[in-house]
Order: sequence, then structure tokens, then C-alpha cells
Amino acid sequence: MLKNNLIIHIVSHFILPFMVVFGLYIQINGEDSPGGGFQAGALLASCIILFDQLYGVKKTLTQIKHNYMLIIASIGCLIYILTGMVSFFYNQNYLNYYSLSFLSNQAQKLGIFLVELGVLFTVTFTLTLIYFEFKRFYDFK
Amino acid sequence: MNKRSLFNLENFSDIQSIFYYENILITIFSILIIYLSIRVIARTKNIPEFIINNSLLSIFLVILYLLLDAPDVAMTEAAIGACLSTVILLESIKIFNKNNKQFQYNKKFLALVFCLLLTIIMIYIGCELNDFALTSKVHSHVSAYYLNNTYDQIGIKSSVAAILASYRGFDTLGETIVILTAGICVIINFANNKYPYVKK
Repeated sequence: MLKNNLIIHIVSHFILPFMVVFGLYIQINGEDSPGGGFQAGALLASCIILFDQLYGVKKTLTQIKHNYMLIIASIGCLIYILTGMVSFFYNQNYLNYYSLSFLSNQAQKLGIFLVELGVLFTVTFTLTLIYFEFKRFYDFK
Repeated sequence: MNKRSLFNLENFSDIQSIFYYENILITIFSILIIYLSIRVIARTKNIPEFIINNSLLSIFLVILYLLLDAPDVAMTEAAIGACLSTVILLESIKIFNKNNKQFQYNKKFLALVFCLLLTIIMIYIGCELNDFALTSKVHSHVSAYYLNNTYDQIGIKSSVAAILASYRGFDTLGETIVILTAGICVIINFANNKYPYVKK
């Protein structure tokens, strides 16, 4: 679709891998600098949408099947819920990260890492799902 | 541990602790209005009546949430339930029912006067919010606790990530579930086998 604008097509083609790396950078450094799961999820979703704009629907949906998008989004939510449930086995309250490790600082960081990972999966694939659902009707006309 | 009750005066600041019997009256009044509006919502066949009663229900639920010590839930309900969903529903029925007699409303001047009065009152309240925040106890000691104790208790330099994922992790769980539910609702709306994802 972007083939009409050659300049934008080529520049986006080069900038796309840097966008993906930057999104993962924001996700991993969510504990020390601004960032975290929600922001990185939005950026990765826009990477997938840019790929779709550059190369068409067929190539995108062979890389990521649309059946799997909802499953991965739900798995993200499930990761969040299950890290809360680990503390049930140690007779503590829900979402108590101190049960995840013997060192208290490491336990908190591990808990926050898992939680942000779940949020990343959910946000990314929900946004791309909404995009592809609207695109179905737009293309069919 | 503080017992959370409807009329627990320890959680209120000094200004609000004088309103004890008024709290009882406000709860009874709002529960009455909620009951009456639910009765109308369940039995009506008239669409504008349904939408207006929905927003009425949301407004009095806001008051109940405030009395139950949940001001952030009250703010969300006021913004989304009372204002946003009503506007979206009214705009959407306008598209399909331009000539329908049920949706014509002739008292437009009165509505304009009422809306202007409401905005003037809101602006007046909004100018006073700054002084109210400086004197109430809630706004001053909670953020100071988070800023002072984040590095000692959690070991992270960013207080925002610590509040989002550790101190208030339960709220972030609810937010993630809401995002997932929104995606599922979009899929349900567009579910149709006739339109393939990839054109053949």
C-alpha cells in the first residue's frame, strides 16, 4: 500500500528493525527509566502494523497466524494472574512478590519483570487484532 | 487495621467529619434513586429513556463509591459511565433514527441554558480544587511514602514502575483484563465467516 510513496516505503523499510529493538529496550529497562509493558506493547504493535502496510496482508499473516494472536494475548493475562498465585503456596496474600525468591530485592525485580511481560503480550496482540479486524471489511469492498 | 464502613470517620479529613447525619441521608437518597432508575431501565421500550436512566444510574453510583472510600473508582465511573458512554450511545442512535418521532426533542433552549449553568458551576468548583488538595491529608502523605520508601523496600529507582507493578499491582491486573476484554468484544462484533482475512 505504501508503494505509491517510494520515499516513505524505503525509509520505513530501513527503520523497522530499529523500531523493534527500541520497543524491546523500553520493555526491558522499564524498572530504571520511563517505560514498561504498556508503552512497549504499543510500539511493537505499530511495528507489526507498519510491516503489514509495507508488504501486504499475506506476508504478515504467514508470519503471525491470526488464530494465534488471541491465544498469545490471553497467555499474557494468564502470566500476570499466575505470578500472583505463586504466593498462595507460601501462605501469603495474592501478588506478594517476596515468595518468588529468597533475596527480597531480587524477588521484587523478578515479580515486576514477569508482570510487565504479561502486559506486553496482551497489549501488543490486542492492538494488532483490532487493526486486522477492521482491515477485513475495508479490503473486502 | 481500619474497619472499612460506610460511616468511618477516621478516613475523612476534618472538614468532612462534621457531615455524619448528612452521610446517612445521602446514602439512603442515592440508593432510592438507583432502585427507581433500575426499575425503569428493566421495563422500558423507549430508547432515549433507557439511555438517560443509564447515565442517572452512573451518577448516583459515583456518590456511593465516594462514600465507600474509593475515589479513583468514582472518578472513572463519572468520566466513562456518566459522560462518555451516554454521548456515544446518543450519537450512534442519531445516525439511524433521524426521522423517528421517538427521538425528537423540542425543548432545546432549556437544555442549552441548563448545560451552560452546569459548566459554570464546574468551573467554579475547579478553581477551588487547588486549595482543597493542599489542606487534605490524603494528597500529602501517600506520595511522600512512595518516594521515600521505594528504593529501600523494592530496590528499584523508578517509583512509577514500582507503584504500577508492586504497590498497586492489583489495579494493573484489572487494567490488563480490561484491554483483553476490549479486544474480545471487537472480535465478537466483527465475527463473520463471509469475509476472509486474506483475499483469495
